Amino acid sequence: MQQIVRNSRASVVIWAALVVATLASWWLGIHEGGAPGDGATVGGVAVLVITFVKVWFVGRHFMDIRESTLLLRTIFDAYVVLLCTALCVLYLVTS
Amino acid sequence: MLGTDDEEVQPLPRPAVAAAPTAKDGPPSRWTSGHVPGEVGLWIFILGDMLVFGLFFGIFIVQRGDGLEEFRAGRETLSTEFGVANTVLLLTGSILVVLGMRAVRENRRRLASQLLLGAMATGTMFAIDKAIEWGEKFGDGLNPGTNDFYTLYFAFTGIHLVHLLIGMVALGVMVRLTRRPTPGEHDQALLESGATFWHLVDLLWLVLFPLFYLVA
Repeated sequence: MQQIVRNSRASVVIWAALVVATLASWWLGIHEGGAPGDGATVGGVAVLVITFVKVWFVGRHFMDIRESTLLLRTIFDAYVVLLCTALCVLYLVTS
Repeated sequence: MLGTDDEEVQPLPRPAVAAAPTAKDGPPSRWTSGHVPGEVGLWIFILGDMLVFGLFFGIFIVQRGDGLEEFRAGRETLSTEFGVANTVLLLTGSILVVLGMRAVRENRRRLASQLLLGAMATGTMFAIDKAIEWGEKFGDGLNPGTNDFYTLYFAFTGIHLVHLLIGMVALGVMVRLTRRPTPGEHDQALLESGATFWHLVDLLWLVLFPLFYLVA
């Protein structure tokens, strides 16, 4: 088991970073979520951006997209960037 | 013996990176050269699914804008601790699958089976958490008809739960494959497909969690 973990060190480090990022999002949601009546907050945008950074790492490293074809890598990267941008803009415009 | 001796079974061959080009085919395209994990057909489904969920996420943000107070009140009835715990559970399930696939490639098939069973355990805990959370909401008189927030909450987390259950079945099939005494010709592609689907379940929840529990 230790050998498997050693050979997958990068993935284990990414997993730990994803857990820390989840806890950071939680903290931001509580402390930077704004007062009642606030629509959009900087904390809200930060949470969305952190979310899509996490999505990118899960896709690239856990789903092995980083070793896949240029076509799949491009589609996935475009999905992450466009959806993150669209949701942030919608969040700011509709709040 | 069924998967009892890691050294007796044959290692799974890594699928060829790309078919060798023939004179008729011409040079390989830089866009399609490389190894696609699992079945190509599954990726069409996965990308379509991600697109549909992308629309769900957009619908959620727009609906939130139409009812800021309703969504804020709805968010405050959700247990963020449950959401965080479920996120960590699915991330942990994902790393167990990554380690399991590494064990398969290194021909440590019994260990691979155990790691995949561990991932199934995280999925089971997620489903139990979700059942408790939904039970509490129904107990408090909150249901999909209460308002837009709960309609979206039950619909999107319900659709995600269906994905999780399908992912659990996929993990079960993967465990069976790792226990076969002689790996089949298509085992590697099937294992990679199952792993990819499981990571999709994780990926979708990574967005659902902050939308409902943090920014609503």
